[in-house]
Amino acid sequence: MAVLECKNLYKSYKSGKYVLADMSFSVPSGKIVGLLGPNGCGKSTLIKTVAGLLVPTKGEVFVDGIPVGESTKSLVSYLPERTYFNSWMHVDELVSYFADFYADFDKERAYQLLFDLSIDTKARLSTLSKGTKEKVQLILVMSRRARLYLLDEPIAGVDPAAREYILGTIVSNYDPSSTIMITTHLISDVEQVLDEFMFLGYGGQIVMAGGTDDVRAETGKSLDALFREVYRC
Amino acid sequence: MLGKLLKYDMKAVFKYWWLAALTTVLLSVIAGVLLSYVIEEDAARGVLEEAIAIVGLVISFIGIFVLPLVTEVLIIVRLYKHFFTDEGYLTFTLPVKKHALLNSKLIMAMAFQLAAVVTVVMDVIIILFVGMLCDRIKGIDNFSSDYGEPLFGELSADAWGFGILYTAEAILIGLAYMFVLSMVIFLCLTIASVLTKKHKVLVAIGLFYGANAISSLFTQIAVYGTDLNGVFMIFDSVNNGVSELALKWSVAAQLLIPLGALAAVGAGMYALEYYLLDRKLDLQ
Amino acid sequence: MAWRFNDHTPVYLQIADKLRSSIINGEFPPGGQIPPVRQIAVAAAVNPNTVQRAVSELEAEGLLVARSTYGCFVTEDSEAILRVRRDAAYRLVNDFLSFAQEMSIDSDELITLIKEVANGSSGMQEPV
Repeated sequence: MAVLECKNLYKSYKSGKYVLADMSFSVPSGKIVGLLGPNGCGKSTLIKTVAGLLVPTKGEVFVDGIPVGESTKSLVSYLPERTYFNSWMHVDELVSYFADFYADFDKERAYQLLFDLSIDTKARLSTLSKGTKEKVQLILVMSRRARLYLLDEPIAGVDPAAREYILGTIVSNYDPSSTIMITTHLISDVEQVLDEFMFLGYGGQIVMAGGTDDVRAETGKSLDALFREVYRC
Repeated sequence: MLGKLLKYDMKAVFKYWWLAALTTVLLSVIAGVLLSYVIEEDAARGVLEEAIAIVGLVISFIGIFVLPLVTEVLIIVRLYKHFFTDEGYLTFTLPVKKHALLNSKLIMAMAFQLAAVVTVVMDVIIILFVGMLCDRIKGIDNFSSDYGEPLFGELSADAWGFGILYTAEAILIGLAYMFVLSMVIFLCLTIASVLTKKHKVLVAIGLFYGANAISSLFTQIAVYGTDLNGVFMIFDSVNNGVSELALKWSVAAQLLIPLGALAAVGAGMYALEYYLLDRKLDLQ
Repeated sequence: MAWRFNDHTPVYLQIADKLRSSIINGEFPPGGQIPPVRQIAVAAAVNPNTVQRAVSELEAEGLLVARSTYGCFVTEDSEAILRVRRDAAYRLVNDFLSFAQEMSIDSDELITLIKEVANGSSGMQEPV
């Protein structure tokens, strides 16, 4: 049973232009997949559609065989590009909020990770620095035992040390029964963490897809180099 | 899940609301004292003291009667932040039905609107009570004779029977009105968020004024249409020779009209709001 | 600290190289257990499947032996390890000589230079 499946997915916004066009693919469990492409090519749109925030214009999306909706939201753990929590809560209140709504939330793991990063759980979220807020968000998302993790640009705008921490957290969260999907434009940083990749094109199509190491074996080039080639201006 | 959502919605608004409500209680105590001071006849006081007292009274009254407005603002802020800002990413990925999200906000809104009304009523009672207390202390009796008796006198006549029926209908109409008001506000915010990305608040305010204008129009038409004169005819029933009982029943029946209308309008708005949240909200 | 990899060779092969080095230099002694795949993956910030592939590669070479639930162990066959060590050294020298040849430095000159640098004596200038 594929963790994620898209069938002839189309998405257009009010302007009428298609951001995603006739997208069909299937992702099995136990993979870390990179959804790659230049800015504005529809990566975030695809992620938001799978997360249930956007409604497809045409086509279907299934998580674990279930059409995207209320029940798939308990299977999917989504990390958006922006910080999304209200500022009046304290860190521990936010942890309780997650624990309240998500049955698969691992409170101990969350507190452990917060402790590892010396984040004050009693602090009000609005007092935290941007980088710390992003880490808290990542910790909450990764502390869920979900089937599908959707990480939208998890390391953009983050310093190199934090990047390593984030990638390490992603890897340590790996589980053969779940799949992690990462969008990024910082390919060289993320490449060694990815099993597979999908290149998205401006037409809203999948331009290329495959195994990350196979690219090197077949072409002697890194994924980053291949990307530059494919998207040459 | 509705219970959980409601818990967080109530907490979020109550955090600020309790302070506003408490402030009005304090203001009503002050108002009671000042009122007793001001209506005291033959008292030796200067123009300045009287002016200050009156200003204090006015401010207190404004502070008390502004509570419903403050309540609406708090409700709006909570809805807006939770649905239509970046927080929406968290809200709309929660594993809950959209109905639950909407209902939680609606119940929270009506609960606080009701609480605000109850608080204001309580405040008025406190003003009267404190005023009477001050009078007792000074050994005079202005309040009871000038204000207390006439008010309470009217209320106790026909306290049972139709009084209860009308009160019940009035409460229901009040609730229906709150329902519609909440839905109007929700719809203004939602439509604004669906239409624009940048100027949601301005558009929402514009829509709200538009809605107000339209509803005033409807109210005018409704007033001409229904026969609300029946209410005043009770007190003239002797002169008209129409049975008083029949009149009272007819008023009770006529009150059902606004109740039904409000409920229907509210239900229609609820359906529209749900549709917009479900299908049309493209978060950015 | 995440491991650094070059851009041309598949990552799993580079990980296999690193593990092989650790076995050859005795960091993972014969018969000893290597860290679990997950642990290596987190330390290197690499996909666990990739690490598993590297480990499987070394198992195929006979350097590692998987013992079901217990984990992965270095072979007790010291002969095999020595053989691999020699192969690695051979490859190293081969690459080195090819590179030197590109610069037209012949083997005799190389051998002299190696002895000098290794002994720390030179009368020769060190490269600027």
